[in-house]
Amino acid sequence: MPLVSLGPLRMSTAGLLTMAALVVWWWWGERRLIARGVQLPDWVFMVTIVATWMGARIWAVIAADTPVSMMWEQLSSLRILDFAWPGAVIGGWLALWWSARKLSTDWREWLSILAMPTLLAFALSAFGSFWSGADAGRSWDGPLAVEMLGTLRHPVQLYESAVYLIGFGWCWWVDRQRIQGGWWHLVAVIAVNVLLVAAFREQVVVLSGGIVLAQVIALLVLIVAIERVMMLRRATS
Amino acid sequence: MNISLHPRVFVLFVVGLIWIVLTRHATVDVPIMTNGEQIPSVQFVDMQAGPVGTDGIIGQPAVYTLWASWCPPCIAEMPILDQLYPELQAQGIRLIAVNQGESTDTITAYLAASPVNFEIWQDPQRHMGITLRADDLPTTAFVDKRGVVRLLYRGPVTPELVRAMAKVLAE
Repeated sequence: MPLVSLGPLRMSTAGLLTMAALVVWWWWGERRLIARGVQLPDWVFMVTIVATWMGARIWAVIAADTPVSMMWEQLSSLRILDFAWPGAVIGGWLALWWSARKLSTDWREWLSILAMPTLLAFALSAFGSFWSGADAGRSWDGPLAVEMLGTLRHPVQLYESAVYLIGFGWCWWVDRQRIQGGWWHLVAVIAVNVLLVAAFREQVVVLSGGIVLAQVIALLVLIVAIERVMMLRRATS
Repeated sequence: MNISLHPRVFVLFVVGLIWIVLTRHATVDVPIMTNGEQIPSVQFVDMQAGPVGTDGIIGQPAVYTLWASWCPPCIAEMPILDQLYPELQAQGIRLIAVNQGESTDTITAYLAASPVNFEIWQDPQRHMGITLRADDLPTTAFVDKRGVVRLLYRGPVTPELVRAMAKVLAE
C-alpha cells in the first residue's frame, strides 16, 4: 500500500524507510567521522549511496534473469522491490574503497566509524520492508506470520531488523570500549544476520541435501571476522 | 597452509554447522510434475471468479504460463504470447496465463494497463507453482490433448520455442 502518491511517483513504507535510512546514515555517519577527526568530502557519501543503490539494482537484475530489453528500465527504477542486499553491500564497499584510494586514506578506518550508522540504516530499511508486506519467508503459521503470495510466512525482514538492532548494540559497546577493527565487527554482524535469517527465507540457493549456500558463506565469513578480531585483540594487548 | 582456530571459535564453527544442517531446506513433499507425466488436477478461478481447472482442458492441447505482475521476465513475455495467441488459437491450442499468488485487484490493475487477449486464471495459493516447482517465474508447461506434459520450460519463452512446441502439441 503506497503511503504517498505524487503523480507517477508512489512511495511505499519500504521505500520511505529506506530513504530515511540513507539520510540517517549520511547525517550521523558524517557527524561521527568529524568527531573522530576524519573530514570527508560530501561526494564520498553521494558516491557510496549511488553505488549502494546501483549495486542492489545490478544484483537484482542479474538474479532475476531480466531480459536485455528491460534491463535499463529495471536499473533506473526507484521501486524498492528490486533491491538486492548482497549487491548493495558490495556496491557500497566498492565505493568506499575507491574513494579512500582517491583520497589516499584507509577505508577500514571509515568503515569502523560508520559501523553503527550502517547497522541502524539496515535495521530501518528491513523494518520498512516488513511494514510494507514485502516479505519472502518460508511458509509458517506462527504468531508473527505475515501473508505474501497467498501464504502465511516467516517475517524474515522483521528478524533481520531485530538482528541488526542487536548488532547495533554490540557495535555501540565495541565503540565505547575503543576496540580496534570495528569494521570486522560490522562484517561479523552482517554474517550472523545471513546465517540466522537465511534459514527462514523461501527463495534461496540450495546445495545438495537442502543446505543453504548463503549460510555456508556467512559461517565462513563469520569465522574469519572473529579470528581477525581476536588477532587484533592479541596484538593490542 | 597452517589453519588453526581458537577453541572457542572452533566451537562456534561447529554450532554454526549444526544450525545450518538443522535449518536446511526440506525436499518438497508434494508430487512434482516432470516432462512426460500427466498434468495433475488443479483448480483455479478465472477473472470472473468462475471455477476452472486443468481437468476441463483434457482433450485439447494447452500452454500454461505461470506469471506474476512483479516479475520482469513475465511482463516481458506477455506481449510475445499475446502476439502468438492467434496462431495458437488457429491450431486449436489453449493459451492460459496462470497468475501466481496475486490479488484480483492487482491482476486487474495490471491488465488494465497492459491488456492481453488470452485467458487469465488466478492461483492465489500457488498450487500450480508448487506442483511445477516453479520457484522462478515465468515457467511454462506445454501440455498435449491427452494431458501429458511435453515440455516444462523455466524462464521466458521465445516465439521460436512456442511455434516449435505448437507443432508438437498439434500432432
